Amino acid sequence: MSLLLAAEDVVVEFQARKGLLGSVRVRALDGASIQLEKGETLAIVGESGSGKTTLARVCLRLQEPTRGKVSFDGQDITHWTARRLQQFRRRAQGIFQDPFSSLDTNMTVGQIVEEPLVIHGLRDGRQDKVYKALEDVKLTPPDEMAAKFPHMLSGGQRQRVAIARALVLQPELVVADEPVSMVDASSRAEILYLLRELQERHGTAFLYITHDIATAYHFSQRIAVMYLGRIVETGGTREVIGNPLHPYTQALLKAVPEPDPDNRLRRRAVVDGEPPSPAHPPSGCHFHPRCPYAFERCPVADPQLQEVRPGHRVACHLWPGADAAARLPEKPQTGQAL
Amino acid sequence: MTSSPMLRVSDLRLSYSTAKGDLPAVDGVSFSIQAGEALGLVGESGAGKSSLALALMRVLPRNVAHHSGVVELEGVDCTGMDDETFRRQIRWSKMAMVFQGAMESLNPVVRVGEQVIEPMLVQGHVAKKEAAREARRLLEVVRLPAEAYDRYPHELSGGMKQRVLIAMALILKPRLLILDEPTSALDVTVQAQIMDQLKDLKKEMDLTILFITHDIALASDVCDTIGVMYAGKIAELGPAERVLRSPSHPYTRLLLASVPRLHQEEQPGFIPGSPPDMVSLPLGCRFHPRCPFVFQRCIAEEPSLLAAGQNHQARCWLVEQRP
Repeated sequence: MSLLLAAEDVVVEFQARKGLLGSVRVRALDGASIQLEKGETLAIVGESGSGKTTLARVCLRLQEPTRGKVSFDGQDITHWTARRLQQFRRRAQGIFQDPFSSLDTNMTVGQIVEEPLVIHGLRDGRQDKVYKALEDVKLTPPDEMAAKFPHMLSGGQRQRVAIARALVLQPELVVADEPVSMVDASSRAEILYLLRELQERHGTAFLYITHDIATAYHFSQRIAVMYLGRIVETGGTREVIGNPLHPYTQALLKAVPEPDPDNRLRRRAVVDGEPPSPAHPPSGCHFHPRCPYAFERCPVADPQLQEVRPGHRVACHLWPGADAAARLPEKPQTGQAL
Repeated sequence: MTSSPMLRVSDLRLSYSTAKGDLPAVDGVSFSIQAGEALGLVGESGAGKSSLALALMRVLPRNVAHHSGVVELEGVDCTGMDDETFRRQIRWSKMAMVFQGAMESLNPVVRVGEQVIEPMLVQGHVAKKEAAREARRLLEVVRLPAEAYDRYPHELSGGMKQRVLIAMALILKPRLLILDEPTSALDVTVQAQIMDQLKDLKKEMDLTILFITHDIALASDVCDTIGVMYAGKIAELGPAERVLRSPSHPYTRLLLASVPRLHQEEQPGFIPGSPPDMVSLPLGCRFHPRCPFVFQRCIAEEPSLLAAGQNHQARCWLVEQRP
């Protein structure tokens, strides 16, 4: 394995309008670092306002970071110009959430999938490549599918067109930002299996951005949980989900509904409140106002990510130092019967 | 002798006229909900869940081609009622609804409290002061801070707006509450809070709930009975224990298998293909083109809802073959 993509201590700030003339600085990413190996899938999990989409945009260099560094295959691409980025764009592609707005309705499926080849001036065997990409995503027969327009397709089929478009250049990196959240629940796994199959065949590395920790569990090797612009916990997916250390990760896991008829007989009792606006992040640990274990240190000091179990890092004051034997304090009463 | 159910729906049909022909969105749906119970209607997009709710509330789009069936509320047949009587006697006062995506339909320039009391003022015979008192009480019931009454929608988070809509639906003290995908735009932790809230309301106010969702796992959070819809019809209907633990229809089984489970090595499944084109439906069972257990009879003949156990029915020929 070797490193393909690295984001180091990335900060992204936006100016948001406030009132008539005023503006307020919103820190969407507050010092986030990730590393992605060639051919692996890293899931970035978070709720709205966590900065996961901003991180996706930084990794595709659709967004220049305010501070920090982004490198791809050993090269520092943080401040590359649009012109210089073109060679990077051939190797890194994106798949986005909404297959209804990300496809041009006036183009046929064939034209949509061909466009990256046109942009990058790849003339040879264009039609073969397009048909091959459509076959790869199981839109068959490819000649018939290529002639269709997006409005003739279902949501799942449209998303597969978007995947074919991303993969026609055989990129080394694909950033998939909520690729299945607008697809019917019954078809989500189908799309994710498809991505995995293509990854195995072409050795593509995936950054899988999602709010859904349950699909992340099944479709990633490593995971990073984000809250309000920061990564609060990261490690091997099995390890993190099997032994969640951050109270926020624990809350996320508890919030996942499973089809159990006994659910209706008990309260879920996750955490109170909602993620605050990134324009006004709480002091210290951003999660402390919602945290059931918060103590005096939490509102005053920023917790740093530190390794608590092998390869498993968490940013939480409950874990002072690498104490692998430590356990969380007794949990507050949750899940009581109705 | 048992009393009549809170809601009984018999052979409800609703079709839209489209450029391609008539689209039977709801095609002969029957079920009933006992007072104080929650029924979940589950299915993929286009299954007819939302159309069914709109038909119950009689808020239909203009392109309705055909609308029939019997809807009884606490034994009273509303079918023959003219629209004005239905509006005055039933809608919102006996049966209220939280519409899908309604969070974005709150009036941005009116304080939310004023919006919550609107149904009360429209019904007349209540002073505004009294209505406001009731609204503040309800905002408290749905665990919103008292000052939320004077806030504008943009000042509230998604979860708070959804609570406002629930308060608005409850303002005339309906016994039946219809919720159409009430949590689909919310973060997962907030979704869990709203589901807890619904459980509390159901118990404290003895509410009867019709819960519409595409997420069968979410339905298990509040529903006593689950109806699975496919292509305008009920594919399976029964107690939550039966439908979730021993589903009889292959569609229900596949839907359950497509839920990604945590801490289980078993990978989520999926249902190949997509729901049928509602304008040119397949012959026989509507699910047969996607069904892994399809046999000759499924292609030729459409099954009716067959008994699969006590209060449990499935629209599948395989049910007949089981001992």
